[in-house]
Amino acid sequence: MKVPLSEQLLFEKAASGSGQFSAEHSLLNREKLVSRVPSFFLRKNEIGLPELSERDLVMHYTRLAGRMFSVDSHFYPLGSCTMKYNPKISEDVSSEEGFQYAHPFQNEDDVQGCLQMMHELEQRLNVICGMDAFTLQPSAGAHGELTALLIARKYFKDRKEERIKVVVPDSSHGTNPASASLCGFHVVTIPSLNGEVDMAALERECTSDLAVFMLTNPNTAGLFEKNIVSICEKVHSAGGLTYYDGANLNALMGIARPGDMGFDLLHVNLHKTMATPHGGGGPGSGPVGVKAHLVSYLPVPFVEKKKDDVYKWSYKRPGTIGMMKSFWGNFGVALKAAVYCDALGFSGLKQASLTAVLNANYLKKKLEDTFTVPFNELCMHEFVMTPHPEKSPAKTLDMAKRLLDFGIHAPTVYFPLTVKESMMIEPTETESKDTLDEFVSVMMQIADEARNQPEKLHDAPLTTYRQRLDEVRAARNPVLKYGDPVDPA
Amino acid sequence: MHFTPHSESIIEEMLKTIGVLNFEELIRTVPSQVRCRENWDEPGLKESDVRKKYRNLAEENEPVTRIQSYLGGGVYEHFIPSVVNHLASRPEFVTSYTQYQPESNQGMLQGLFEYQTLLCRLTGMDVSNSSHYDGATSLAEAVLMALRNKPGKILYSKYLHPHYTEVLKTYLFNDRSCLFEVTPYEGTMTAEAFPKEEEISAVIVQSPNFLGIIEDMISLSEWAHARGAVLIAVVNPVSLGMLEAPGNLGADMVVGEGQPLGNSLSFGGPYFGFMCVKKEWMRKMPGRIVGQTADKAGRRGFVLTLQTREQHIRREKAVSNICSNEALCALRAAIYLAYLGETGFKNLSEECFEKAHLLQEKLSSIPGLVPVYNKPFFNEFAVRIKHKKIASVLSKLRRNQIAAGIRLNQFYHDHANDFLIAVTETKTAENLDYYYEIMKEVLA
Ligand SMILES: Cc1ncc(COP(=O)(O)O)c(C=O)c1O
Repeated sequence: MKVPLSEQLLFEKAASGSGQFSAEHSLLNREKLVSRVPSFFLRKNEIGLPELSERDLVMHYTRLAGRMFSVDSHFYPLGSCTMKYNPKISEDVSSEEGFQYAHPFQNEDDVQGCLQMMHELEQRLNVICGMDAFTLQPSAGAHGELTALLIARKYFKDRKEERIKVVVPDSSHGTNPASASLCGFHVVTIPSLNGEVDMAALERECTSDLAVFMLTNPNTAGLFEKNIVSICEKVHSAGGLTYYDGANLNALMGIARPGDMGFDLLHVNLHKTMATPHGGGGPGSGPVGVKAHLVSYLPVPFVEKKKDDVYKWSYKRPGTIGMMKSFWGNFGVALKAAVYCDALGFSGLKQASLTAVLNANYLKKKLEDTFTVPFNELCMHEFVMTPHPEKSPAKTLDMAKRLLDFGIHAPTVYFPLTVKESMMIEPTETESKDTLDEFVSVMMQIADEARNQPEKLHDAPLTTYRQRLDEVRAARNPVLKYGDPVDPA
Repeated sequence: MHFTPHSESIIEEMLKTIGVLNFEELIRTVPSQVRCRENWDEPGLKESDVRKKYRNLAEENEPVTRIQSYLGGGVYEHFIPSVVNHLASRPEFVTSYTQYQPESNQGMLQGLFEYQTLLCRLTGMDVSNSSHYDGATSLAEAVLMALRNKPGKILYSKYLHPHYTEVLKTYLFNDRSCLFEVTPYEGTMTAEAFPKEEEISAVIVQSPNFLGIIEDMISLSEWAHARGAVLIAVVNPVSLGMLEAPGNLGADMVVGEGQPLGNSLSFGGPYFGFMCVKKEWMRKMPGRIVGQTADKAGRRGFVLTLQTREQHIRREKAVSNICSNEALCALRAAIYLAYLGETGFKNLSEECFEKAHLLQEKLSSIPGLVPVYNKPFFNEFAVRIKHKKIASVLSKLRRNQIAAGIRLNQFYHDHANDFLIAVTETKTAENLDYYYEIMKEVLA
């Protein structure tokens, strides 16, 4: 059966021979060209790139774009991911020729604007987080975690301390333990108590081999860790370092600073807190900040401000862990974050955090009678709830899929792992009360369907481009590129 | 500027619904001990002032488009067609996130499935992930994969991109003793220089290497396979329009920097790393992978798959910690490849090659300037300045609006008078002549 045009893959589109690129053929002399390299270096077969007219290409990708939920088009309360509105001005600034076409190996004289931006953003992040220095090298949050843990390793090695243990709460994000083991640490997971760190459990792990305790605060249940100061003290008195996973910093700007709570190291997800777009999965940026005693371990090079406002690369960090990636970081993402910070100012950043907390608590209040909210106190920028056994009896997965039928992206589901059937809801500060109210009424309707028409949930979604997709089948018969054999269903 | 929507009265109403009097009470779970004491009064700038500030900063730069740049070193100035920018900038792609709910994200999933297919075809491999952070980090993770499979030495050339070498050392902090730097023979890797007695885990071959030279991947992969080691190829994707796919030369894993495929220079990022492997590595490779499946109605659709490799399922036992990747940059690459098509992409590749050779031949005729090695190269080559101070030669060229190349002394102490020249399709015949004339003048 022929696949309809609108559903075809690039490779199924027939129009061959319409490649658009026109080389300066006057310069090209195929025979001479081929004589310059031994023939066994040269490609013998076709690559298999599709050839489409520009018009068909535009139609193809525009149709794909039409099959997307995005922040610009949909409410996207995906917990822990901070899907706030991404200001358009950032897109315009980052496409300035002076930034887009700056080559990373240009002389410092030719890229003063880039260097200045990086330096200023680092300073700004220091103030927001209460830290002493930042590196912009890490490409995302998880990459920042790895950076920070490598710093911790080197720090203990220099002090000749044998510390091999990283402790994480059971509510922690999967990247925390994964980063720790990638870095060669032994990972110990401790239980939570009423949604917060179980102090007794932490105490037990505060031994002489403790290297790092990793925590996000507010934690993944959306709660501020009330014992934060004594948590940090306990870890420090055991000789360990405290690491702050900055995924939830959006709750705290201008309210409380990780540095003041007692954290030694942290990462910030610029693609969350600083409103840079998530790009369908990335790029992100995960700058790492440290306190004074760890500055010399940060990656190199870094930007130094010299006399007369001249900016230079410096390698003067004797303890450095090295480079975390080629070149200097996701500059274009950092640039958008810097623009956001300037546009809001510190007062606007604080207002953003306060409003994020307001919106989350508003939703929680409106939903807590119909759904089960396991932690019954004020939340920060997000909260966790589950279906209520009588008032909204359904599986979380089914509710998530049903939401799509109403044009709302599902919350984060089945995370944190500490709450069964969890839905983690983070509305962010950019959403209006009308949007929140609509979400509430949709959730009420879904709860009603759960009681009275459960098949509606099982069958959902029905209005999306594709109905529920078979993930088991995808994993059992991996078809990972066009042309891989497809088992009959 | 601010982006919070509520009026004062709406805020009042919402606080009341929640049951608190004011913001202060709303955040009462944050202990006063840790509350901010700094002055957070600084107002935001007006939109027009933000634009002005950053336009001025951009003006502090001298982008390669305003001069004639021959800088490469792993990232290259290629022309990016308008259609690529327009399609990849669609907010539906830009402002979505990882496809946790595939039914609402079929556009990006299909786009990434097509990306995986395109990269497999380009590299001659079986499986591609849907992107990694960059070329250096995808190499580091490929090496970790190889080491998990078989401990032993990791062989790489002195002319592996120095940043990649650095990142490799960072990632292998725990045991750098497995890293073995091979001294090249006249610029290329040869098995004669390899350790004879050791267990070998992997041989890394970057081709073209950092000095632009094409390596003999076939004989290196034969050597590696004879010792039960894997061959990890690091390639410039644009070279594959012309050069043989590493999958046909015995590579087990192919990684590299995807920037040349339609991504702007942007002072070092965001770019993306690609990672393509032979089938047997499919369940061991890091990163998100898109797979084809069917929906309830039996129609073709796409989902993230093989997730039991990943951190959100396996936590400390995951094959990698990667979560967010560089999906949008990968989508851009797919659009770029589809736009150029078979013919256009091959033309692009050949044009870069041809122009680089034209310039190299011209420059080689100038007394006082010699190629560092006489070996087959793609679009980049190293030259040596004899008799004159290289710094002053390069700054004279720069004063004539030419960014002549990357000095190699910052990476290698035995390349004090050498620099690396990259040529892409963006340079015209007149540009090449101009470079030659100015260089001749400066060296006269
Ligand atoms: C709590 C938490 N930590 C870490 C991460 C990892 O960040 P990234 O995806 O930028 O690597 C996330 C991302 O979703 C997160 O929610």
